Amino acid sequence: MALLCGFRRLPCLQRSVVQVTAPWLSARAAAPLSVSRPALSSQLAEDHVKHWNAERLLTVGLLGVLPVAFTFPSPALDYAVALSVAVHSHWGMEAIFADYARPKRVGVFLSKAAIGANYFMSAFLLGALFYFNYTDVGVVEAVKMLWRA
Amino acid sequence: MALCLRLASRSVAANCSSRILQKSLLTTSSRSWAIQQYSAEEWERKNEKMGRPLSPHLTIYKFQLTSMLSITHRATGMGLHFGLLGFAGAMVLLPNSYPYYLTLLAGSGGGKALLVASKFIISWPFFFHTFNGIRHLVWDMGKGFSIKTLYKSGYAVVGLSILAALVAAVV
Repeated sequence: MALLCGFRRLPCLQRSVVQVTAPWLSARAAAPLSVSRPALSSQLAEDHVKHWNAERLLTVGLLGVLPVAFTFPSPALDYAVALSVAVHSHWGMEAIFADYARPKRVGVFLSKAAIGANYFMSAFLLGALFYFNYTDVGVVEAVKMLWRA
Repeated sequence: MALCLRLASRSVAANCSSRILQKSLLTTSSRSWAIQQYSAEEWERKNEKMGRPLSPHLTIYKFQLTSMLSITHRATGMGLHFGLLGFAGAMVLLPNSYPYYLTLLAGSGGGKALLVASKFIISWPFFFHTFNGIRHLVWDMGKGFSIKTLYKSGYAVVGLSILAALVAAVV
């Protein structure tokens, strides 16, 4: 009895009958939902919201810049397309590696190596696209030429 | 009476978000219930040691439009990424310029059919990924989650992407 009296003072015990007997019926979540999707287990504690928002913003930007670049070709828009595509596909591949190359499945080293390899590939892609823009016809013109060929 | 109190406090303990109270409730007396507290890693190692099989998932779950379009979205994204990587990498490594190689490829005499086919094969993944990407953005705004709308938008994406790729192939 004394034990129970001690419990009553604690706020977490102020629950309804529903929450005690059938918690799955209770509307209130027992714990806040996590918004993290860590690429590495070391990032478990970090908030994913900013990254998620950045991804969506970039996607909308990419959707906007592509038709503009094809309608009004210019070197600046070539570089904008290259940058947007490279970052968008980097984040997409990062999600793929984080989802499938998990530490529990492929080991800690391979999971980190996959993320590292993704950074390397994306950096290479960005550099290569910029190189193509600078020394060659540019990405937009290349697509147009391919279609005219 | 004592049993009722024990049962009440046990279910409360399981639901209680206070870790300290949960621990104290669950490990108070050794002569009461025997609850083993595992960490996630211990639990997984235990299962591995016991050789417990994993429940089937991909092999048994029905293929649905929703999941198939989702994985196709991911696959087309990956394909576009590696395609672009291959193209850009080749342009860095090869000595001549893009127009040179383009005239080389165009003059290689594959025929009109090959040209149309390759234009379709290149453009369909792009159009599918773009249209399904827009579908994703609509979801991100919180709209279109009813089953009917999901299927309608899904079929629309497939249809529009094939149509767009066909138009691009013959243009």
